[in-house]
Amino acid sequence: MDGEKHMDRYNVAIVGAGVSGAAVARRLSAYDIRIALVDREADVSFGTSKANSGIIHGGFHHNLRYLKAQLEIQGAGMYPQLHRELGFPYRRCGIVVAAFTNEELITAEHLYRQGVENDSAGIELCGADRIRELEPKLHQDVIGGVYAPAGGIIEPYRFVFALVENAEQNGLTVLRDFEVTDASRAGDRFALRARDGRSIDADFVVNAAGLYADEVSGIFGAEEFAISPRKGEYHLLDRRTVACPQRVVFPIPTSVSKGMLVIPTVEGTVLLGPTADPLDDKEDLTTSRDRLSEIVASAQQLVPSVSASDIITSFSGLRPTLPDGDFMIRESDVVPGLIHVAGIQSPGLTAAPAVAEYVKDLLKSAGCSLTEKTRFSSHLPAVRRTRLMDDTEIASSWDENHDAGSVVCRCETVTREEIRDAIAAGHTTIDGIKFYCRGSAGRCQGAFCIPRMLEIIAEETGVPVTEITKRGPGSELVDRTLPGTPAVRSRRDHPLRAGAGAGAPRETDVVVIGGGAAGMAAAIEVAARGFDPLIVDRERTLGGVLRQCVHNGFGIHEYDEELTGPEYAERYVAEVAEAGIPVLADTTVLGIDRTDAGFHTRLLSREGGLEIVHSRAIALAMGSRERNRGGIQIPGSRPAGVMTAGAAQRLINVEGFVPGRRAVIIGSGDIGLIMARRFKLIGADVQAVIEIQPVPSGITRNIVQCLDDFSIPLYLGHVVTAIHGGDRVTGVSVAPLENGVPRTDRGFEIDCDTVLLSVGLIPENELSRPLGVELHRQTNGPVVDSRLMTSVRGVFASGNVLHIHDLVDFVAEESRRCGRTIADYLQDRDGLEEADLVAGSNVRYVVPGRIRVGEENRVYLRSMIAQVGATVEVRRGETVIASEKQHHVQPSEMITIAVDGAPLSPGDRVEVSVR
Amino acid sequence: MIAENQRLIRVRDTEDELTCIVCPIGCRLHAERKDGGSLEVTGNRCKRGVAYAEEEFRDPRRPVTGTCAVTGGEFFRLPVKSSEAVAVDRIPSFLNAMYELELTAPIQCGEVIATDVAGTGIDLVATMSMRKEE
Ligand SMILES: Cc1cc2nc3c(=O)[nH]c(=O)nc-3n(C[C@H](O)[C@H](O)[C@H](O)COP(=O)(O)OP(=O)(O)OC[C@H]3O[C@@H](n4cnc5c(N)ncnc54)[C@H](O)[C@@H]3O)c2cc1C
Ligand code: SF4
Repeated sequence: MDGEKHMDRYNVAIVGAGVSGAAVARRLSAYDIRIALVDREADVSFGTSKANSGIIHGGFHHNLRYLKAQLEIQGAGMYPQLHRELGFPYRRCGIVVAAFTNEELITAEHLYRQGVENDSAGIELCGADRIRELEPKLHQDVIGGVYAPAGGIIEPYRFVFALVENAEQNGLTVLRDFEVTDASRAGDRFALRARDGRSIDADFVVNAAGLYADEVSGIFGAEEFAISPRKGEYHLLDRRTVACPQRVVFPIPTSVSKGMLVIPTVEGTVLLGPTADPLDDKEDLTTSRDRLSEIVASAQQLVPSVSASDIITSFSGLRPTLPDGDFMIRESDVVPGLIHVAGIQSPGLTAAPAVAEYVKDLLKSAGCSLTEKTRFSSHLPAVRRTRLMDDTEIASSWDENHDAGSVVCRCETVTREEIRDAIAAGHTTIDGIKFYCRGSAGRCQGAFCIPRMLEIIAEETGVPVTEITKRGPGSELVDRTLPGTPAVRSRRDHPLRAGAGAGAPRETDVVVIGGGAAGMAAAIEVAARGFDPLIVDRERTLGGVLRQCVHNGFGIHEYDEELTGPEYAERYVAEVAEAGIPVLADTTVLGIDRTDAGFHTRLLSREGGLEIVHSRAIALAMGSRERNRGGIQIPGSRPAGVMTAGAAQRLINVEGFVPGRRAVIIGSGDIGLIMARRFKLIGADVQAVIEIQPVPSGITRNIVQCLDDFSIPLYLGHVVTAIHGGDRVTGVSVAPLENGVPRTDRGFEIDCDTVLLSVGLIPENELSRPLGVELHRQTNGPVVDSRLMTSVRGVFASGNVLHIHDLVDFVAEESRRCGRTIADYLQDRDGLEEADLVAGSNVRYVVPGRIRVGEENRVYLRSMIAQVGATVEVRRGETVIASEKQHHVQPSEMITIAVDGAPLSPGDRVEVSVR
Repeated sequence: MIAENQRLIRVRDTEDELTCIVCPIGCRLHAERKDGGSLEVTGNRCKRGVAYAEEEFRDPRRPVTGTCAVTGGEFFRLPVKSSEAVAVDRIPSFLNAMYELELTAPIQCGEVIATDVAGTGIDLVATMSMRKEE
């Protein structure tokens, strides 16, 4: 478009596509006028409206003399109908305010009276019993409070998306990446110019620019006022947390803020926060260590079961505030035809629908002629959500388009089709897609699916992967591709299932979930004993994580040679093929249900749609996933360029995408070390590896050949205290640790554009949990007996899903044994005599938890100490049953020993220790 | 892609600290070349440490692994490895030659895909099979 000459004309231009601008746009789209909604960001709702509490307030916090209080009440009342029309996630779950002291009770009474005055529907003043009946998760010291049943929760960005999408159906034009930098008045029209030269003109302008409403006012030559940001930091807890309340839980408010809350989101996760800190910088979305720990502490006062270990991510948002604390919604005194919607801090979300009405009336009295459209469509079709569908819905969704069978994000069960829906609705950044369909919003925070999402966006939009961003220009995720690998991807119908023939069998002896080393080894042994296994894996090829580990060092124990990961996998793939074991690749297991005779495993794939396989036994072999930023809580900003080492490994080795030029690696785990070397070998740099412990967690050989070889500094006993950068990472702050406390006074900064996290693996037990499999507190894997059978009869586990192994040889060995015990089980040869095996001194854990009487057992353990020359001893009381000398022990290296069960009797308690 | 004049991997000439990786103990060695040309090694718990240090000073080599561009297959990158360890000062040229290759599927795991890479006398071997995409 040649901007200047070719100007698009509108009746109303709305600057700012947050909830206020979007609500106004949707309201106005009912009239016969041309409307443009412009925003400086790459997508709508990327300002304050994306990071807030998502609460529809109860109408008792403010006095009606404030405009914001009036609009809050009106707005809240409009949500049920909007929800029916637009179908965004909304739940009227009610709000409780908890008082702990008599003084707080007095404030509660005041809130209650205010609520009654404001007509807050059903508001109630509660005593201790009543409030705890309403919210059983509350702290037992709560002595009373307020209950407002009309309050609720929404997904704020989904609300904005729905408003905009519906308005677009009714003719709205949305201009993204359109930062208004210049405006003038020509006759009775405004001309608005964007930074990139595009321009539009309009009769009326609505200034809904959130934090920048003051600057936009200046651009139009209208009145001066100042918007000050007030920051709110949050933690997001995993859906699995036991701390999820039924209602929004508030403390008693203070004079400046409503306090820090515990919020059950519509998606089932839990939000803690927000803080309230005045700032100068409108771009400062960093989080800080102190505030983040304050949030946890104050949340625990309200709901004691809140636990920091459930945090999956932390973020912050900025409230745009005016000095008087109220909204300012009126026509400019200086520039007629310009309507300000400014100072829209809390309860801006609640008020938005009412703000839209209000603005519509202002426009009318300013002379904008509004005649209703004859054909306004008020309803939006529901957004597809595989996670919430029942089997019939999934099946029919797949019938329509097979992409609905291709699961991309496994934490949230988001399919390729849902990602396409998001792209079709105009969301082409990773964040935009995440907000729309939750792809990458789950507990792994995108480690698995972001590479896939990049590929899909590239294929669907034709944009080179190097131009795909997290949230707009500057936040690119891929720096370049490796030589010879195209950045532009076309949609190829990827070859479907590997292995013999398509279609899942209706019935088999064992469904093996996961086709990595563990799954293949177990299946091979099952087949060797004459039973039928079926291997299911979500990836296109077998081998699991080995596929991306192109370096060598695998198989030293098993094959007595150093293989690369893919070569090791290839040997197993050959054995699987030779044994004629059926494989369903590119197939995701949605869930496992128990039946009288065994199990129903529900599979979803692009090729086969929804299929159910019945089996007598299940072998869990799902491997592990990486701990991510939420798990270790690094404060700072949330720029593009932060990823787990394994995600980077996949990007580089499988896709050929280079994520950055200069990396800092957090944690000295083996994957991080291997990736340090890989970065060097692809011509990128590694500035440093930062390890919190005084000793490296990876093996010595990797320290030597991945760091020393390349003179990469390793900082032991140091922590990253903050990650910096706006759109993309620009550096990290590092400080030495002294008595467990970071000494920031002796800290330093390192420049980098990429941060890789290598801070450990967690067994992937998302499918085991709902099946009722008991998990071990130390290993995070299932508790198993001597057969590697879990607490659910017929369900076995081996490999990294059971506990984290450092060598694939041990995974294979354990899994082969697992395959044999599964065969025994299928033969009903499982009359068992077992003794309990427990971890004794200097042992972090031992697997399995039971060993077999009268037979040879193989056990795996991890030492808590590092020393040269040690003895592993297995004792029953004072009697030593087994003892094995070790050359050298350390926590990062797993120990495996043989224990003869001959001297044992059933029910004995046997202890393993390291001396 | 890799600057060939730059030392990607460090080489040792007269005196250095190094960690023995022959066994998991990982002794910290100190090695120093004496006037007569012999290497004096301290810090080792056993003789294997001396041999390791001598090799690291005389002719350090590393196996090279990576990926090559491939077309017509189900993926865009094919995992590969050097048929034997490459002298560390030749690794940059070895890598550059590896990145210049453009392969076509199908390829069998174990197939030699380039010989005498960058004049090292060492081959490049596919470490994964890649089917041709129908
Ligand atoms: C921590 C926190 C918690 C909150 N909790 C709640 C709650 O629970 N319930 C509730 O009701 N409210 C809550 N709020 C308030 C609510 O989120 C905000 O009031 C609301 O989202 C503001 O929306 P907006 O559209 O006005 O602003 P924004 O969402 O900031 O939208 C403004 C848009 O204007 C764009 N823009 C700016 N300048 C330009 C320009 N020059 N050219 C083009 N575009 C431009 C921006 O990019 C942005 O997209 C909370 C706010 C915060 C910060
Ligand atoms: S010197 Fe001997 S004991 Fe020490 S690390 Fe080397 S091989 Fe092991």
